[in-house]
Amino acid sequence: MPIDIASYRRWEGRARATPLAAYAIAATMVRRRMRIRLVRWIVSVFSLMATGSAAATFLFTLEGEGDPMIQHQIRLFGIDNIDLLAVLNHRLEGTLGWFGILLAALVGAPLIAEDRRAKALPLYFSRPLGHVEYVLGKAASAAFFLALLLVVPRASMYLVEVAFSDAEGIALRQLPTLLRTLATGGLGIAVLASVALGVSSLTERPTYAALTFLGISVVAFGTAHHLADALRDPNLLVLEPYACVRRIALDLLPVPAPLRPGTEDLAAMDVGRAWTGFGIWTGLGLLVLVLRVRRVEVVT
Amino acid sequence: MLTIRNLHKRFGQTVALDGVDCEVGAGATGLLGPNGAGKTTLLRILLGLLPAGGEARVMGLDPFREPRAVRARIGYMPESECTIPGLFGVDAVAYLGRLAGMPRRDAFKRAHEVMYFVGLGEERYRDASEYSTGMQQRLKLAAALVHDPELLMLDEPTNGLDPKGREEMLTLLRELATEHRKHLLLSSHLLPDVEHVCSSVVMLRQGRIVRQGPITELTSGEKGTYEVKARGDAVRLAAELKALGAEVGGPGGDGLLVRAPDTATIFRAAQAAGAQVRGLKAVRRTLENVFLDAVEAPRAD
Repeated sequence: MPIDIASYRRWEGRARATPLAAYAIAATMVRRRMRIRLVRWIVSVFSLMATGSAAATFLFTLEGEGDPMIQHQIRLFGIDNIDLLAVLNHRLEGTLGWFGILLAALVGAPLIAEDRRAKALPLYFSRPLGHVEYVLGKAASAAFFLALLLVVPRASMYLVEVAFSDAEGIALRQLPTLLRTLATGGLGIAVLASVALGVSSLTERPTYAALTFLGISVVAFGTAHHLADALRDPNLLVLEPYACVRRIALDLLPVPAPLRPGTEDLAAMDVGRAWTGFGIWTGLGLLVLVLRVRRVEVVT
Repeated sequence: MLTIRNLHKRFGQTVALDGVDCEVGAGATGLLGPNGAGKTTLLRILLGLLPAGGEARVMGLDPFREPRAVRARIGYMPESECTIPGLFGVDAVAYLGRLAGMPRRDAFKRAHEVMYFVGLGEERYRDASEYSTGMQQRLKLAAALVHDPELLMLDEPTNGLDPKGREEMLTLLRELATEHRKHLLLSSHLLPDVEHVCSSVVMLRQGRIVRQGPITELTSGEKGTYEVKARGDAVRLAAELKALGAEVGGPGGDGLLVRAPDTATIFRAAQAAGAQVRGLKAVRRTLENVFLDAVEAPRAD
């Protein structure tokens, strides 16, 4: 098509640096990901499964046909004496964690790698855009997808409880628990997004980034649990990023014994160590990310 | 437009810029130099992307202290093939407009306009990563133009273009400079590109500026050098010219290349030699001559 020289018009506005650039990056990245059918399908299935299972577990529990462990807890403590929302959150945590890892590999890990492969960084940084906005924008787009998995199901449990419970003032009474469950979801998002983006900044191949992130998650899980068992030291679970989040969740949302089978080690882990492990994993991911983005941008 | 004082930059042991001093005025200016001369490094420093020693002002702003304010007023077209992956052409341009600080609605409206301007109107809704090299060059120009910057910094804008695409790109750039009053800093190692678009040049070699100024001035040649076509005895004419104090540099084109204080000396010598002057013109140098002289001359140090 020929050029149309006469079509040039002046723009009367004035461009200036804005913190909203991070929002523009996040919104565009989310839209771009949602254009991919596979991503749409996986995100929909994962979030529906998580939300549906949360709601169903809750309803079955109220009906008395639910999880035997929860029924046992109800028999022990009575329905009014246990915080059902906290118990169900505890039961969902492990499953949501693995779904979160898969989704972070799919939508988070390629985010920087594909920009590096397309040599897009000079285009970004020739705008009035700082590294912080770029990283924040990318992290926010990964967080959006992870929130569908790690936050929405928890919020839906609260809504189901409020909708189906006869207890007076249940919405207000359960609000602190809801906030704590959302906080644990937020911690999960922070650690998964930062590690996934950190890995993403190390390569120009989105597929390698996704596989490396999955590999790190599986190896960290295997190593942490094997060493914790072999050396009888539950604190070694800090080697697994999401185990730190699960331990913090248990601290924020204490549940009456007995716990879900297989989580005894987690409960025995020192919560201070869990916070340290969470901080190290998240910080390490962010540090690698910022350093790599700065270096790549200068070298490109 | 640009003021640069004693700018220097090293990458490890490699000296990329070695005390660059120059003033670049309004209009289109070419940044010429062989590969590795420091052109891209200079552009990146002016964009505030690289730290460096010395001083620089871009439209009165300090790129080291106010890099974002500088970049908001500059449109930069990088040399490498680059794009925002997974977006339609028009979405990529609008997205980069938003990152430049434009409101969303303005960014999209303007993205459509500049896509037509660069000749990609019909290809707006194709994935930008599927564009050919020529289309990607145009897309990069559209992205540089979307926020209507005062100054465009273009790094090898005709890289990878076929002759027709190159001609169109150069026409676009010239129109931007002449009709739309954009200030251009065009970095290239292709002399015809610079001659086609720019009115002045800055020549870099090994991180130093070796020549700068308006192209007409640089190519006007030395004062008093003429190409003389004469009918008659050329040897005798040369001898008479020398006798009158002129220098005869040998044949130039199909005549003699003469350096004389004025044209009257040449006519006097012709009269004395019994020759008839049939053609006399002042010698102009090409930009290529100037460039080759500048980059091949031994360095002062």
